[in-house]
Amino acid sequence: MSDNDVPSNNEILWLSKTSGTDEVLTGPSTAVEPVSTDGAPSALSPPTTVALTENKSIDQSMYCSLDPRHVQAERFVAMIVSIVLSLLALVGVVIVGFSLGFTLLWLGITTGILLLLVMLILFMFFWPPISHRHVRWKLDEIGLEIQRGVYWQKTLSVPLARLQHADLTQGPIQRQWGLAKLTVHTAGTENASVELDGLAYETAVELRDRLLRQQGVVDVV
Amino acid sequence: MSSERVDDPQVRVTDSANRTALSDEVTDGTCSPTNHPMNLPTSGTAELVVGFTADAPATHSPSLRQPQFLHYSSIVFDVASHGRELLMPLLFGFVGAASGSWFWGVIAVAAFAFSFLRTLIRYFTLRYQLVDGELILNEGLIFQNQRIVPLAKIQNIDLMQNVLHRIFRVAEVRLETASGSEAEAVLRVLTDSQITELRQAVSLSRQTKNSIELNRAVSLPGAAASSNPSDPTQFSLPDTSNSIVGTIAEEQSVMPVLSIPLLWLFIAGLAGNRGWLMVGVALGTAYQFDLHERILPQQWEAWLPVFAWNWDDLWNNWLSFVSLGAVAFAVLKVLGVAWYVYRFAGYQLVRQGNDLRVTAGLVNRYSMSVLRPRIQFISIHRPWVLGWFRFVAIRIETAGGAGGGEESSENLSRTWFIPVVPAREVPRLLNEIRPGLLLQEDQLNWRTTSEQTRARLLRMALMISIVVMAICVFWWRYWGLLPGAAFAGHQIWYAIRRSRSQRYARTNFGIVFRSGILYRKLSCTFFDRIQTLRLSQTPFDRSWNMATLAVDTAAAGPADHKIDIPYLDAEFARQEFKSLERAAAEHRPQWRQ
Repeated sequence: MSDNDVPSNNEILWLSKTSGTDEVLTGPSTAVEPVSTDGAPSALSPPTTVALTENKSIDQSMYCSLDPRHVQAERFVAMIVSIVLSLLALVGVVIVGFSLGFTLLWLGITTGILLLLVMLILFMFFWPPISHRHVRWKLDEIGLEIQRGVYWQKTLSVPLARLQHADLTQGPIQRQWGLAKLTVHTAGTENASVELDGLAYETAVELRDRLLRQQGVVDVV
Repeated sequence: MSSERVDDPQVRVTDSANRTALSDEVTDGTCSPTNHPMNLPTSGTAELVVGFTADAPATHSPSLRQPQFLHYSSIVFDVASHGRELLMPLLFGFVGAASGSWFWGVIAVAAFAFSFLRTLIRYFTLRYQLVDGELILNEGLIFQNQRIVPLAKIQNIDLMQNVLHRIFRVAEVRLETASGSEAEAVLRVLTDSQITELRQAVSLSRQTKNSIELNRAVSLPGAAASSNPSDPTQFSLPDTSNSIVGTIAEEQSVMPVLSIPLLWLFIAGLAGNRGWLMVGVALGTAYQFDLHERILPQQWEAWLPVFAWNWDDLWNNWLSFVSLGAVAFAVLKVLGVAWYVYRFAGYQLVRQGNDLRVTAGLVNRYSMSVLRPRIQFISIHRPWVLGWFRFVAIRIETAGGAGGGEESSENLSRTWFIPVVPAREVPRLLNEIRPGLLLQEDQLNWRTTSEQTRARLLRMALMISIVVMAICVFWWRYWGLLPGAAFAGHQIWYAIRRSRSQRYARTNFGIVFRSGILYRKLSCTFFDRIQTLRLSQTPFDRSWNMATLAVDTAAAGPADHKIDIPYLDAEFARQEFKSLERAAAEHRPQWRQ
């Protein structure tokens, strides 16, 4: 499995943008450029100064991608999972072999399991950069907007004034890479809490502080 | 009052760890704080708000500004609250020790030690502080979490005190915001003085919030006006905020709004299928108490003509068959009418100020009260048969009903807010439910689904039909064509009607969504009630150039209708998403209780 598995029109979606006939999740012109597969930092286009008072100019404010270290952290998790799975498979295969005999059937099953395992590991290794490239977020005076999804694409928007409280979470692996997860809670039901995982820690703190500071203080319900 | 405040220097944190102390690591991110795009040009609104939060620190007492541990007796209460998990091991331990086996004793001690260790870790990792009008809660050793709750958002402060709490002069504090049904922060436990301080800080932040809102209302009168209604000629909506303030001041007398005569309940009972519910309840009760064995004689089945029939001879007995069906149908309808009469006889809807009150019921009268400012979502249901009589039902949703489930009394009374009413009364009632709300279905600027929807649904229907038909033919040979064809016909009919039935409109108060073929639901919510927006596209959507737009409100489900709009033209959905995003941000809730 390689990077080419991403539909090519997706790339176009995220990079180009001018024509209004683009698909709905097409990014604006200043979209973040995709990171290369090895997880190098994406190059941010220079911030455009925009007057946010007009409807049409909203599209031009800046999108940010997640921190590239997120890819490494995900791969690290994938590595742990791979090792555990491999060990389990090894133990299982050996036990079955000893109890039922190392027959041709055993060989076939072992090969099958091995192939599955290799495919899974390859997927876990190559998927993080692909999904990383399809996550981006934006904070403007309206609120927080998050886009994610490679095939099933989704855009979420939380108006600033609707924010109730926010959580900032760090697990041990995230701490190792200086990452954090921000969870924003609203009074809604279906999307009551919106998660943004894989931010750089300082970015997450600043984003959280800005969300809470800018929102003002009003009842939402 | 004794002061068990956490002033002990041993437990106080010395490094004045503040909100950024979760991690010491400083690394370059993709979006570093310095050149971060979040440095936005601030509009007037934002400045006003920022100005407030900058002033806020002065508003509450300084002793909680530093990170605090909970009261030391928390350890006791935490262990006590996890006592149930410890009960079994301890029991085994006692039994084991009594019978001379030390194994279970060791297990019990280990479990207790583990639980105690967990409590200690929780105690020493949980710290809270009040800074800049926010409650900051740090917890966790391995998975660290930092929660920030703006004090102004706190709606309830619940205290829990049992005898043990009173001995220590402490209480368990639960802080709730509008989100979710769980408490957002549980502080187990705080001393009286800490609670007083917390309460003062919350009420101060509320006062500040109110004054800020007054300022905003004065300085930004154009906030609501800038919401560019799609067509001003079609709506005459007054500024709701002013009219509401006016009504609160003037009308504290009780105004009758609606009373439902028995005739309407008869119609609703005849049109609805509540009879099935009654049959279900009756059968369930009978089965529960074995009534069919006690009351009915043995071989009671023989009494019913249907069991006396010779089924092979059915063609000759079709008349009795049909008449029996008619009788059963009539019984169902009578039961349905009975249900409506039982529940809603004497239905009265009155309004006193902003308080809408319903009383109804034949035997058990129930009454409920809804504050108009709390209404999130209004839904007009028109079932098929009820629609023939030109009657509808109105359901509402208020905030904070998330728990309790469908059948809780609160949700039930919102589900049946107005159980049946002639369609012509709807505009007047909507105006009572939300002043200034004008919702004429034929005057809305409706937007239908994408032009491709019919083709897409038809293609899907055909594919499903072919599969079903193939299975039927495989199973029953040529006879299988019959059910297969019937299924295909239904699918195609459904696809065509489905693409026509769904409609969406954005008005100057919010959004209106209509869906349903036979059971039609028309719902509206308001810009100031929109919590989050979602726009999604599946790979199929992309190939058809469509998208799904969903609007999330604090409504919890009694209306039984979600604003989740599929098959929209992708470009339109995207524009609508942007417009709604902006409208939601501009429309701040203006009503207060």
